[in-house]
Amino acid sequence: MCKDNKSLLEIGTENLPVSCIDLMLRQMQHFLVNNIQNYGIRYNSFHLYATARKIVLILYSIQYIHKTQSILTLMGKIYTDIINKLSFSTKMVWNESQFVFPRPIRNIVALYNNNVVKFKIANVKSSRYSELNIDTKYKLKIASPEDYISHFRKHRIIIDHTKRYKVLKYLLKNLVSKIGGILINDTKLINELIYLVDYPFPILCSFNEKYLKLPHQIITTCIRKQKCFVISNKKNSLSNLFICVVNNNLHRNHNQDTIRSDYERVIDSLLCDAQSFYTSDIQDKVVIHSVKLKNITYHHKLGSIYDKLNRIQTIANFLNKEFFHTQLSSSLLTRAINLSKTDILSKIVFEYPELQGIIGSIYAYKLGENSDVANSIEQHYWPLANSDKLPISTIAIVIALSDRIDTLVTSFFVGLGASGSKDPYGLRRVCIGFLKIIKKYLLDSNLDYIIKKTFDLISSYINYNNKIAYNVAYEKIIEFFQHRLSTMLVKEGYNLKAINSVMNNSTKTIGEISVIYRKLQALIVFSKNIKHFEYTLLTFKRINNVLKQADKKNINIPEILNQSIFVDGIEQMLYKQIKSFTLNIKDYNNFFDYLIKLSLIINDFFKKIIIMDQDKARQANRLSLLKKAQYIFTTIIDLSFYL
Amino acid sequence: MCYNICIHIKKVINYYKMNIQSIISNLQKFWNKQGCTILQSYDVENGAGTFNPATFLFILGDITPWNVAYVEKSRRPSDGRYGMNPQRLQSYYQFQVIMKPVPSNIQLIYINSLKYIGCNSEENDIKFIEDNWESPTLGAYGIGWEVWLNGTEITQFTYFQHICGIHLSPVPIEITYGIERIAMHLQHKSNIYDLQWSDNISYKNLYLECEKQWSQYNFERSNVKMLKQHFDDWEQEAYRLLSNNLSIPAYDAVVKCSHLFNLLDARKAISIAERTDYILRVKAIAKLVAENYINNI
Repeated sequence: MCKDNKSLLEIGTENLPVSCIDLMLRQMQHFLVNNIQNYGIRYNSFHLYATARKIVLILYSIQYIHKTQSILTLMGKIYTDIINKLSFSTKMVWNESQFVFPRPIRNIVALYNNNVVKFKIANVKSSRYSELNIDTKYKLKIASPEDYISHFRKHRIIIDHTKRYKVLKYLLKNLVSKIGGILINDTKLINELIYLVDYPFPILCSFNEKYLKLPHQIITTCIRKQKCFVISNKKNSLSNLFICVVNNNLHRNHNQDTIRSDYERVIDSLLCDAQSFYTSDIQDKVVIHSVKLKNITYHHKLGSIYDKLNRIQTIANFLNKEFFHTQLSSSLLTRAINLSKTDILSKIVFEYPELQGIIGSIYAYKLGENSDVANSIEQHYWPLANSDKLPISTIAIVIALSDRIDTLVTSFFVGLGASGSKDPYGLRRVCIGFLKIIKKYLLDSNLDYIIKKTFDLISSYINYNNKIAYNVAYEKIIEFFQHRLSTMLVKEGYNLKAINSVMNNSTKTIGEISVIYRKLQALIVFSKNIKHFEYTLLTFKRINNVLKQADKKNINIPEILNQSIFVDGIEQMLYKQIKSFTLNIKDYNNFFDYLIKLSLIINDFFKKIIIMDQDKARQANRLSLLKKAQYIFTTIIDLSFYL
Repeated sequence: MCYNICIHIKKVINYYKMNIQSIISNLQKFWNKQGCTILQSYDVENGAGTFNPATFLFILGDITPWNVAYVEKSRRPSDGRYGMNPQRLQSYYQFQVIMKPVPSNIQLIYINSLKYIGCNSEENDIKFIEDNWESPTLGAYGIGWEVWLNGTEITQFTYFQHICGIHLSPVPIEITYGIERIAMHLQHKSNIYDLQWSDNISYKNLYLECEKQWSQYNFERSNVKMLKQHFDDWEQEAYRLLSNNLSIPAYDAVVKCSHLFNLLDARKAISIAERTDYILRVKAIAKLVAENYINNI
């Protein structure tokens, strides 16, 4: 029979959190790709769809291979397993089944062609009836998997989330172009809204123009908080229009006015509040009162934010002197540091923490601070999460580095480091930010030196006098930096073997980032010449094998060679080649040229000479040569990772 | 033409019907029909309907089903705005529903309750937005949503999971309506003080002067020394009562401590470090009260 078998699973839930939906789809996809063949079925393709209340899986062209039980029983088992295997960080129980899920499961539709796949999960029995809407008892009868999508379409529900995304984008664009404005793009909001509505319908709203006098970042923040879109006009300044997105059901066209005026009322109230906060902040000159930061605890073991500023100052002076040739005037630098965190005291930041930094800069400008100082308040937080924008002015760079390394080092001092999947203080992001700035501006400086020096500067502030704990903390932090650097390089597209080869992590040093990059680039060029690369690796492997054998026999290999007992010219040649090796390398491409030459000689050496000579002195001498060669294969760039 | 008149009449009827007292009585009627017993507000100052023993203590108890609804006057000293903000108050009213176990169509029942008071889901934008609720002072947490009506949060919808670290089974649902916010929508008002409580009395008549005076008290005039002393006293009293297995009176002492903490917080009389400490102190007694209550009923 040549029937095209299809199956459908719909998990009907109460409204799922947006973050859970993405995770769920990814996990289900993983299951379909990796696990389903273990059940003895195959399929040609699948579709996964999601709305806030439905997770939908359709399988096409199913073939049943090992017919050990009825297909309906098997599908029931597969569906049960798919649901059971999903895992989440936020989860709950809601009924006596004690089943765990992000939100209650209330309905299950499961079909194989025209038949119901019967199973029960969380006290819900599967059927062919799907809930139509949150606000109706009416249920939709699904005859077969292929009817599913079109059925809902008739009731103005778009099951396919990618389609909802396109529809929303299209409608937004249309609406905005009609009024001659420009939509300020907000992909995150679009991605959220497509799981809050089943069929998007944007409504244009406005707010009182008088609020346009407020800094635009404040207005934008207020509007986005209500999950609405901001619009700018052609001159690229903010307009007093915004867009809310609602569900497009049959009654909508008659009732836009109520919805619009309600949304406008909410935004008006937020802007009214924001304006009074803003006015009062400006009046209080909140941004220049850094002494008040003494009352705000940074961490109970590390003192107040004011204390943190003092540490930042010390580190910044060091960086300014050693890496920026004291080009910053110390009075400007001090001023910028003093103002860098004061906006925490403002009412606006209390209400909208995401404006921290941005609002500090705005207030500092208003109060006539030097523009580099004012800018640095915002810029020293860069790079922000999901952004590549780095601080621009030297003041901002110095503060950004000092602030971050203080956070990192002090956290390790008091034992707040990240471990495993847990990183409650966001140290990984802080470290990556630090490294990105170093990469851009201090590529050639020695990272170990910077870390060690700040470590010493800071330890005097927090009375850290236990020497052993000091060393442990220092090693931990170097390790942490090494891991972050690897992660950063992986994200930049380098392969992990290459990264490990050049990082020399076992040495607990990092060195200059520029060196790491130059090594990486040379290694990649070299590894692309497959013939040479493999020849080199093979040679390295042979050396290792011989030395391993010697080790097994407990042969003592002397450090110092005895040239006088060389028998063959090749020994002398190898000795010369090894002697010409230097750690001081500028161009790593030359190093690889050297390595090929060395490999050729070593292979010749293996051909012409018996290593395990009867004469113990000669034997030891030859092993010693190989040991020295092995060192060359592992110190500059450790090729062991390729074996 | 005819259509417009209909809408107009409908609006007039709505306006006439849905003053605050009829929103309350209609919600009571609706939830009573769902099997809820209608209770009254508690008589100790507190921050939310959750603090009423009908929620906090009784969902720990063994009366099942436990279905109740009541109005709670909720005090949030820090939210006062001297009567100047069109939406914010230091004291407002919640309508609270508790159902244990939870009916499987609870969302639909809730949507119907909104229809019952005149918020039709077909004509308005209703969104369920993830919001997992947590009360640090009660050590309670739940999973749920805030419900938005045309962009305004009007309800907190929570499946309780834990109270003071005690796992709840069966799981109860808590539905908390913000009465004033719903009234603003129904009465088409953009200022809270323009709401009608009854046909004759406005919110302004009742509460504008209260808001002014209480804001002054909360932010400027409360007696910090006395409040701190009272906190210590009620904390001690709670422990003394617990040692006599009087968990219910001890619970009142916890609620008092929690409110005293809120007053001190509004007055900015406690530093951030102290703040955590106060929260932990309330949480510690609340936990003991809950455990004592369960063991002795």
